[in-house]
Amino acid sequence: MPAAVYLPTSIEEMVGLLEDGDREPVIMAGGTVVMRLVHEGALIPTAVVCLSRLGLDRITSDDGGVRIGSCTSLAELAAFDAAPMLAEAAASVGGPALRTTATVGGNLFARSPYGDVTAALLAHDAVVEMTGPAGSSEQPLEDFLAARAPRAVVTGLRVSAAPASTSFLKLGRRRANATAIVTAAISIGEAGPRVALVGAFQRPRRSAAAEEALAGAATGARIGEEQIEAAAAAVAEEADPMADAIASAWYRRRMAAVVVRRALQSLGDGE
Amino acid sequence: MTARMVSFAVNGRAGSVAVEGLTSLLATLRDSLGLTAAKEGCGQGGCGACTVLLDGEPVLSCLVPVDVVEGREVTTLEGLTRIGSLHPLQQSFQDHYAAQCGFCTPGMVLAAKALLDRNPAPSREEIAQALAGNLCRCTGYQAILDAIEHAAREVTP
Repeated sequence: MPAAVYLPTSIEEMVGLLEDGDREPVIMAGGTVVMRLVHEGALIPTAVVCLSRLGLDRITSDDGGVRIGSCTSLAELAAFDAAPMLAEAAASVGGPALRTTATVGGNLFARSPYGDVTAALLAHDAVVEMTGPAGSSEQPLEDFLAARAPRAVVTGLRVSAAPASTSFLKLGRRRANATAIVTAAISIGEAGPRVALVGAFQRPRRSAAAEEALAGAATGARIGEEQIEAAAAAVAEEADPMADAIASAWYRRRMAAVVVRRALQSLGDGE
Repeated sequence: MTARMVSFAVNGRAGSVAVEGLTSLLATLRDSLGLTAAKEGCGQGGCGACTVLLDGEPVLSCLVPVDVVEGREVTTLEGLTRIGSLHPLQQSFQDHYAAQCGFCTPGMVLAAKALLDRNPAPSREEIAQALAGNLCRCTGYQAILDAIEHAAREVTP
């Protein structure tokens, strides 16, 4: 039975579609996550709600920070110079054609070891804005990834504009168009160190052990070699890596330490 | 299940297609419109053989739900030139032996066109980055890069 496909043109209409039916409809933004799962036979939807006509594709910024619409394309985020680590993370995903339609919100739902933009957002303490039949709400991204509310659609993500030293490093089997073996998104700001990783755990996550090892590190200051080694070792110890066709868990654990070390060594380069 | 109509322009011609269920732009181009230059290489968005242009921007048509192209302009390889003549990119691919089996070629040519439309004088590295999403199993890529470098010099005054 072919799926019913809806393209609501207002948030109200979208919420109405979420309320109907016993089963939650499949939510689709750019289609790069959903269409692939459908092609692979991993997803056989009966109803699909497409977000592309809701105007959720804007990036706005003010003194408080940056708000990224959930349907913002990775191509657009990759060109957003005001948030260099987010731009670098977006540019690291796939190739130019994928980035035209893939969205920031969709990256939150891409199965590991995808999630490079998600990791960069975690390093920026992103807050997720959602709306659904239960109304509008928000949640720190870290909590959202652990347990997301059902029948709530992500409409945007907010990050603060507070100054920070950042470093992003993605290790894949190729220099481009490659799934992560390990990706590190690191930020040292007023709120403290943030070390967010793809591939080191079962989903994009911050390494509490690495962040503890980096306690006291200051924005803009070079981190000492001893502290870098401690953070890298802490990640290798804490890691619970996934194994797949891209890399074994053993290799990911080894590379998590290497990638974190290199990312910390290049903190502040080019700033 | 009633079909719905999706209206869009392909290679400069406006039209409508009847669609049922969740259908990709690639399937619509190939199966409903007989435009078979775009290929299904993986169905996962990793190989680029399905690359077409949407309002001039490269997209992976196997992952684009056809509904989102409503009211927009799709360009396929068939739209690059009239039958009987070759676009400078196609001529350059031929001259540089940049196609062997030819399966990746439509995607490569359109990715190159999107690049040259935006950046008429790219460096070899910029060409490689623009084609990062297009895989080739035959040529080893160098002939493809040569062809695009040459075409860029030809087309740019």
